[in-house]
Amino acid sequence: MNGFWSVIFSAGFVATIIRVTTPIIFASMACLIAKKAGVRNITIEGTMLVSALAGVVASAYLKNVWLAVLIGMLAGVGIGLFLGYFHIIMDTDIWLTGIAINLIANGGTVFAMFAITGDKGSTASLASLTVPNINIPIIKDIPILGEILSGHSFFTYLAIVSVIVMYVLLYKTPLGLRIRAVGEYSMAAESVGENSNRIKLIALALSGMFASFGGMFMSMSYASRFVRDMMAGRGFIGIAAESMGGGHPFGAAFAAAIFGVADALANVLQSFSIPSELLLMIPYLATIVGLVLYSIRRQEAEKKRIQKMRQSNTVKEG
Amino acid sequence: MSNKKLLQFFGVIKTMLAILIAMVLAFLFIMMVSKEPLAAIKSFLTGPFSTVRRFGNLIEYFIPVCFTALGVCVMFSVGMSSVIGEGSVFFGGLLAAWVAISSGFTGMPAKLSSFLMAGAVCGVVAMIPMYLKLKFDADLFVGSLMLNYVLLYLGLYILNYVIRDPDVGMTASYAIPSGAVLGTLFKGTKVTSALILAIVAMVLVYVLMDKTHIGYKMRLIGSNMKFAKYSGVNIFAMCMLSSFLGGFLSGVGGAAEILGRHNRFQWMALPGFGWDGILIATIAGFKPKFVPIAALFIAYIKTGADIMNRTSDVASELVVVIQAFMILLIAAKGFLAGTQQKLIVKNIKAAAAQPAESEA
Repeated sequence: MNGFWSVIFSAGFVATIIRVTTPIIFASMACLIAKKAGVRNITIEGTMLVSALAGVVASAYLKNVWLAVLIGMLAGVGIGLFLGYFHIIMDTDIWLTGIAINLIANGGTVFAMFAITGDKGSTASLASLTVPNINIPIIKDIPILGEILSGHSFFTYLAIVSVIVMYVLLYKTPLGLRIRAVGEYSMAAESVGENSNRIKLIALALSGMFASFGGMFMSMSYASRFVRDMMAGRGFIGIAAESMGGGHPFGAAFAAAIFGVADALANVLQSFSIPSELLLMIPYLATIVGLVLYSIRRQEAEKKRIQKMRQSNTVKEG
Repeated sequence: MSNKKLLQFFGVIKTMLAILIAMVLAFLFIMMVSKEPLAAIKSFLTGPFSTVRRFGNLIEYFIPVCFTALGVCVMFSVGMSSVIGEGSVFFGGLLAAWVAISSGFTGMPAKLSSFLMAGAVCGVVAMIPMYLKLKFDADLFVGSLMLNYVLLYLGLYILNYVIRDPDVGMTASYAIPSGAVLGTLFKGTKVTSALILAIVAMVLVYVLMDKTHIGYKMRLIGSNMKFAKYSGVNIFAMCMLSSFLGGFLSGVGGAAEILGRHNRFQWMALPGFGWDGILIATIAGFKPKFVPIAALFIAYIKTGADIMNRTSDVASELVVVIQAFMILLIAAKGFLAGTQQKLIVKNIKAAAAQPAESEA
């Protein structure tokens, strides 16, 4: 087990955590903004898949990686609006809509991939491009710290930026206030002249955009091609991270990092002759445990709040 | 016509129209990607009826999805969406193979023990996310979904380290002993005695959900949880029971599939029957009595898509997309809502005019 600890306390392991956390951060941000507007978006997994394929195919044909990222982004926004159309305008049950859109993404990506490449497994035959890694000047030359912080994918830095952007958007801008008002109590927002459907659609479009970045990270950076089912539940893990984060962008990002650690551990332990099937279970088990722990904490906080209220009431009455 | 009947009738029309739109969409997709679209569409539509074996395939597909759809009807009746069916089918199939391989029973005891083990274990597993939901308010959808992945990898571990046959070239379990293999009902097909079991399950679930107080209580929780609570319904017990039954049915469906159609257990991924179950239950309006029709229809388009996949250049995954569009359109309350409203208003006006006429 000596080797194990030396692996865990290496700069490379920390860098791995940051890398595998990236898609989960995007997924949790996508979930967060939709939830703030009062919509449970469970289509993030599917949105990530579609954007991942759209980005890869576009980069292979356009030969321009940034145009491809734009197209992948539009695909994500499109799915967000598609969900919004069915859930908000057509009044469809959110769970069934979510399940259906995930199925469309699952089958649709394989169907489209087969139609384009003649292969149902991956887009290995397409000469697709990858998003560049970025070396940060000065920091990259610092030992250890440079290895941890520098040289990551463009999307990894975008993930960190998006957490901050999300915070500013939600708490410092008029749009953020509107989104939160609609999510909190849409009738109250409507009573002061807000069009809650429009706000929800905007939030879902943004949600699709964040999810698309996570998807494209997987197919254009983490791997250099699209593979069927390549999200392997990361979109759903992001949903769990969001609910553990207590509805705050920083909390969600922190929870995402915990799942990143679980994921990275599963990666590292594979070299220690532990059956890979058991290791692959770790992130999912961690999600369930995390969900429960968070829910217990929330319940206790609620109990305390009620107790406090009772106490202050009795003081007033006395 | 009473309003209730009118609504029911309109629901059927809406479902038919949704299916029609989805099928038209399927043909459009085929036209887009195929070099010979007409041949592809023909094999899609008529393929399942062209030979006995292919029609057998249809019925073979019908069996497991019947179980999962019934499971979904029971699980969703309490108004909460647990998607554990997918993992239960997989794990049920694995457990059935495991028990059949290692128990040493033959004949009826072998089959019975395999089915019961698959059902009971999957039932208990399905109760876990519901327990976490009821006790801690942990998200049921995410919890049950994550448990699916846990079941998948746990199952693969058991396959690789406990029941794997090292003498075959691929990853597969030891052969399922002939004593546990289900007998076929019709020559030239693999339609097994599990079909009878599926029909029995349909009747039992129908009676449970529509004719007993247990089913009524579950549906009451689904339609108004607070009302059910104040009426003295034991919410915890009923929700746990609905999850157990849902998991049980799905597990039995997996067992029926493995013991009926496969010589060895060799699923390497979740088989998809659980999601089909949700689709079928949606088409059936979550009413067990409509499950057989909906399941037959889905088995038909699934088999047609498989045949199209083999005989043409269109991937069978198209059918997943089409199924999802059916779910969307059927579940959309806003779909044709205006027409429905007009019909109801017209009906009420007609009903209001009638007694006046009879009095006069």
